[in-house]
Amino acid sequence: MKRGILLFLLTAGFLLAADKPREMERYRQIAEKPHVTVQDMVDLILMTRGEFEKNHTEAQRFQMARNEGWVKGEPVVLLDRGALAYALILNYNITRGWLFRLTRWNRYALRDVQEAGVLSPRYSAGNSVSGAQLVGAINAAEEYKTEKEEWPSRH
Amino acid sequence: MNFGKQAVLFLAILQGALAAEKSPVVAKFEMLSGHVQYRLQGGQWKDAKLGLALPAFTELETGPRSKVILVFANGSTLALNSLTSVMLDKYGTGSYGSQVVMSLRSGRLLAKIPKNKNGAQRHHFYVRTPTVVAGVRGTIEEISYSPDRGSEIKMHESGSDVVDRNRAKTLLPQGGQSTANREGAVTADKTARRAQTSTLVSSQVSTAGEAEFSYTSGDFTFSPNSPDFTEFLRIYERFAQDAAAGETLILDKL
Repeated sequence: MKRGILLFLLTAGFLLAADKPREMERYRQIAEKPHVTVQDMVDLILMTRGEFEKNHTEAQRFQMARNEGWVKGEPVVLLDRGALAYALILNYNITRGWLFRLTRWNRYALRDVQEAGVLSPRYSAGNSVSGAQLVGAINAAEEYKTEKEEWPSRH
Repeated sequence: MNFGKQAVLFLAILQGALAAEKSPVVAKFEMLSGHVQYRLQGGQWKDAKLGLALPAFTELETGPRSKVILVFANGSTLALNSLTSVMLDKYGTGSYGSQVVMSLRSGRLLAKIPKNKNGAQRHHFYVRTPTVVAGVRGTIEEISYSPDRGSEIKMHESGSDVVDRNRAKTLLPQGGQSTANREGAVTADKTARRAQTSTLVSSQVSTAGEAEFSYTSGDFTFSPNSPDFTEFLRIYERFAQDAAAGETLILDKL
């Protein structure tokens, strides 16, 4: 009985420890890609939310994002800036404009995200995104969110 | 070969191997939070541990929701934010003081360099990004880089020199902020001028766009997006016209 419990604890510990490198490996894999997919964006956003390890398969993670309503289309499709902006605006509470509120179109999401200084205004909604750009955009969105949340306490 | 010669040869080989293995320590991990990994000269990525000594040419990566603080041999402190990738390029000491050169590939770091009490010596700390080289001297400096926003440098204490990719050198004063991206560098004085400029609403001195922008820029409920507001008014007018004419609004025509 004792051996069984010990074996169970060791296995559980090993599985928990194995998740950490898995997340870092996946992050590095995404960051080095010349063009990322919608699935890559979903995985990275869930990592920053701390929910990557809760959903073990890509299908589970994509379904979670779809249920929350911040991704459209298929996971294998190349990510464009419009879809990225749409996901960022909903995940990081970026201030929304009138037209995004009315239409929920990607092009208006991109314009609001550009206005917030999270993405560069040099690109349009159809441009694809590299891994480094995706990591930079998520970093910028996190900083924007923190700054917005801390604004009342600092002013 | 007699035993004495064999022993000398063995000791010489052992000493050589130990010398190759032992490289000077540049920095140590002082605080770790979340997933932080490092690798030595293109080797395997390993998990960081508190107190672990790092030689030159070490690459460091922080994962999502992670943070790390490094302490250098000269007393400098470096804090790396989440999703940050850096490399310790060079560390040297001499009669001039000490020198640290780092590369920031992506993310944000905060460097705190101690002031040297000896006037002849200085702690030189350089951070290279794909668009600038920032030199930190006895100060607290925040540097970030992302492909979209370029390099951003902010001085929390004391001043700094910034050299952009065109080798143009500008001074960044205390409290100042400078940005450099593919379009070029925005120097600290220009950044400060932009931050301190306010648009007054007046039909005599402001254009229609400036007036609209100033009306919406302080509103946190809606985006301060001037073209957005203009386009919304255009849709509203069109909808009003179509409603008056009894027609259906077609958004595709906009």
